[in-house]
Amino acid sequence: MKAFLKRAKEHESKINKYTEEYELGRKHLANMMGIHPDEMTQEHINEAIRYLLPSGLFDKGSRPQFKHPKDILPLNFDFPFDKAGRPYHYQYYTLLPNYHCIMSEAAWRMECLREEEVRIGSTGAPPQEEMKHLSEEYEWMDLRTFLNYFKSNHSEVVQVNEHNRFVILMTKLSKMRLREQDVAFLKQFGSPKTSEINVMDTEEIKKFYVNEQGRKFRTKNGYRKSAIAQVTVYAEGEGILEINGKGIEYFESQYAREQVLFPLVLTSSLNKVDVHARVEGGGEMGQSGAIRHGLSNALLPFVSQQMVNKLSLSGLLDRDSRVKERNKPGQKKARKQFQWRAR
Amino acid sequence: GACIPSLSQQKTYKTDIKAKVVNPRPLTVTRIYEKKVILKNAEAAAALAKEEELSDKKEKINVYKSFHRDIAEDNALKNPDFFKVKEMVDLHTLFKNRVHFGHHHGCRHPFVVPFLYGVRQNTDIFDLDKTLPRLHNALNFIAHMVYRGGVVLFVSRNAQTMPLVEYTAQKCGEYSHCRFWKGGLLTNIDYLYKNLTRYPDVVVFIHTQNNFSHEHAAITECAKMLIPTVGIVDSNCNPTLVTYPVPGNDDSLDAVKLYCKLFEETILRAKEYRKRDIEELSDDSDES
Repeated sequence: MKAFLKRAKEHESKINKYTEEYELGRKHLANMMGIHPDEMTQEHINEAIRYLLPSGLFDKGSRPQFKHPKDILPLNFDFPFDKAGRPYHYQYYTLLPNYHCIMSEAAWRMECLREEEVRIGSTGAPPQEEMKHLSEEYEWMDLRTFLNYFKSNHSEVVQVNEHNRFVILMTKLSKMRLREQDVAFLKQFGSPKTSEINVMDTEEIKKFYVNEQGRKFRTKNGYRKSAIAQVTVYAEGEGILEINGKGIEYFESQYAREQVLFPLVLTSSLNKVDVHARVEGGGEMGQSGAIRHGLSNALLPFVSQQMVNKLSLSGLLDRDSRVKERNKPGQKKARKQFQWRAR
Repeated sequence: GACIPSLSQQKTYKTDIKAKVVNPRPLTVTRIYEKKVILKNAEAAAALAKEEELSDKKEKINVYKSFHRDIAEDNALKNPDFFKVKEMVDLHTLFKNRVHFGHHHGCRHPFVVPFLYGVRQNTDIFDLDKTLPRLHNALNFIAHMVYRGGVVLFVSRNAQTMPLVEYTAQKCGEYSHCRFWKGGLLTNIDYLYKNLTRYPDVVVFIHTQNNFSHEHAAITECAKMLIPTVGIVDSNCNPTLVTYPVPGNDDSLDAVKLYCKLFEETILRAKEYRKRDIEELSDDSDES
């Protein structure tokens, strides 16, 4: 096909032009910056461009760049077929060859495994290769990585339907008795599920300070309605609880006392931790809620990652934003309305 | 209510109608003239001779004339069974692999009637004396096309046999399309593919129908683009637009396995012969 030659020549001439421009520009830049052009690296160029041509665009790929055409354009203009016009990929005529290749390979493996099972079941002979079930449930590529995989490697645009089918097929395959080669095939697209989902895994959670006496502690503020609480938790303690100079008797109702003790009971650290709290504002319930909020946030560095997940998922770490609703004109209270009259 | 055929009607269906093919599939191809200037009109030749630089020109070129022939076909055409296709299949293998079973007589397509032997327990039975020569012809045709370096595309839309068909296509070094057929794949090829792609030279249908028991869209597209097709036609299928229909069963696994095995054998054999017989001709033969 002679259209190949034409396009390949065009591409080559383009690349040559761009390299010349790049070299020229590089020398000018080096002159401007006062650096020898041989010592100038790509980082110098990037800094200079950011200074000379600042842009506030969000997408970093669309900001002005100055790179060698090697990094931007492909070197060899690869057609997906050879001189005679025959495509290289056997599923080129479907418009998504690589995606369908993966699916058909998985389907073919399923067929082979089914045949093996039938043969084993009917004749009673041992399997030719070692076949095992997967010990764990596997988690497959999520949508974004899936779309990216095909776009970046093979420049194919895949849709959501294709991802759904992919997930269904892979789960079907993973539930059969597999050979080693099948496991290797599946590991390209998935990994075993971890039962632990690390919801919060940042460094801020694990920060704590050390006392003059050498005791670790952490203070956090807790808020509820209009109450503010300052809670400090000391590790390696006996179970001391102090609220504004008093013990748990500061709160009279059982409900308020339970609110304060609940995070300690959850993490099972009642007698292992000292708590000192200072509360202002609000009423009894508000203050107890504020202490609960502060306590659960202050406990995090002294507790395992599993517990951190539990606390975050339970909602103890979130500030309860419920506030008394305002009164509205034309009504008695926030929701209560005046008595309805017929006329 | 199906129309019951009278088997006394012995009308043969004409599959070998020869149509005059004049300038088929004219393509607009951009051509570079490097050393030799090949043009049709004398005026244009004079105009070009003034320009010393290379120029691109859009011309309607007949693809068949500019086809690069790298093999001498005369030997293959001397012998009617050059590829020894008749040794691959005989009636007994067809019968053993259940090729003679059709569908319920209520599903019968009226144009398939000439290929049927009769009805047995409400199922149509194919006349294997009629399928066998047609199968031989189809295999021979495929072998000849592959011998000349043609592209074969396997099409089927049955989920049970799809992995098998794709595997055979991969083994042979040919191509398969057993997925959703996007309309205009062949008629609108330049729009769907980024690059100038080559049409398939033969399309082999192992199931002529799609999932909704309608005719596969590729049959009409191939007919429009004048691409010859080979198709296995069951008793509920329409055989009119298929150039080499092979009446037979397409539902039982044994039959499909047989077909796949046969196609694979012919293609690989033809490629062997091609390797053996290939000669690279000089560039002078392009001028024709």
